[in-house]
Amino acid sequence: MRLFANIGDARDQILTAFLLLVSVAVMMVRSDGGLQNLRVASVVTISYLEQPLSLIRIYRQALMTNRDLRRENILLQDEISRLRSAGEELTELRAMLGIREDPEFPRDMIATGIIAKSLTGLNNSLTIDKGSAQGITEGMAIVNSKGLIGRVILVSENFSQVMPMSNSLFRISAMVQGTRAFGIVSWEGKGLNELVLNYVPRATVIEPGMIVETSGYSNDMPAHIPIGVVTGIVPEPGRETQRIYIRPFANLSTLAEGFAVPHTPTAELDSLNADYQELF
Amino acid sequence: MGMLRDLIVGLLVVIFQITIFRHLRVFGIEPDITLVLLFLWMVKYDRTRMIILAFLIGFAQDMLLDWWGLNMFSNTLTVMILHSIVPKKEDSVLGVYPFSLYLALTVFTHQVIMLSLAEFSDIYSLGDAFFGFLIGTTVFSTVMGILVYVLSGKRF
Repeated sequence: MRLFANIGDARDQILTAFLLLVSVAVMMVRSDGGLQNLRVASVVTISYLEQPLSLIRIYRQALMTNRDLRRENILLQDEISRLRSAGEELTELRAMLGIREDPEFPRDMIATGIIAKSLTGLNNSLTIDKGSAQGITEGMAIVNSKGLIGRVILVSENFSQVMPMSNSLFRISAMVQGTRAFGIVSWEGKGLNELVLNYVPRATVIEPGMIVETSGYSNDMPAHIPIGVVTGIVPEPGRETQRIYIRPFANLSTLAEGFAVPHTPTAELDSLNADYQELF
Repeated sequence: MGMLRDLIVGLLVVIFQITIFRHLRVFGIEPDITLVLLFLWMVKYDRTRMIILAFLIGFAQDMLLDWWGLNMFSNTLTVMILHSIVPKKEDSVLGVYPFSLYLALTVFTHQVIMLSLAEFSDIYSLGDAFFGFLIGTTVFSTVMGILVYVLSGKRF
């Protein structure tokens, strides 16, 4: 029995050696460029075998591609949103640069960012990111490319508080362009988009669409800063004046940047006004 | 007839491997169910028959995958080395743990031979991924074998 077992072992070993040699020969022939016809046949065969299942793989691949594209779409939407925001900021900054090139405006305006807003009540206010260290002083006008925003009322070293035109305590001397009609602009608390120009004589013809700007008479702000456009005229009952309603150019809700306009009041004029007040 | 039937079964398993299981990749590693079949046959059949079956199954794989010689060589040598070690059906019934162990040993041996040969013959080179591929294929194929074991409800 042991003899047969040994013969069986030898047979298997010889068979294995032969088959391994065949395998190596096949490998070598394949490497030398042989078996071309068989290789072509194998490729054709595998193609036929895989064809029915290819649709499943294509579907699976399409699902994966779809998922990747959706992820990419979200990223691109986010990027578009940021680019739009940057575009709006760029437009605003360009417009502001345009203002700086306007000979009517002082050349040494200080660029500021609006870092806080309180626009919910009568005592509305803005906070800007520049203070005395950057040259901001009380009374400076704050403008943007559209027009007047407000006036600096409190200054710390690096921040300042601004009273916007839409504050019940705000007053500024103004005039209607193209006329010699002067008056005082104030806010009556009826929404951020409505100011009032008072004390304009009825005799002066004012039309909707006319531009209202600072007059420079109050000696604390340069003249010719645009304020807004006339939207309505109402004669005051029992008086010789009319109330002129204005839509301000600067939109406080969307405000993000501005310029502080340096202006040195004429000391002689202030002194003269003080002397006049003392007389009465 | 028995041999012919086994060859047809083997060919079907090779076709399943190529059309389906080859695409069940996890981290680039695919299971090899033809090795599960070889292992199951090793439990049942004598060595001479197994050597011939392994060679022919390898030939079918190589022909369809254009790997001429690799699987023929690896299958034949694996069977020659492991056939005397793998428990036979008449000895005892294989439980799930011995089944897993011997199957893993079969896959591991086959992969060591095949990957080394592939590296040596420049058919394809795995480089640093050699051991990751070796362990991954062994684990993945063993898991597939265990699934076959459990689903078949048989004890080999």
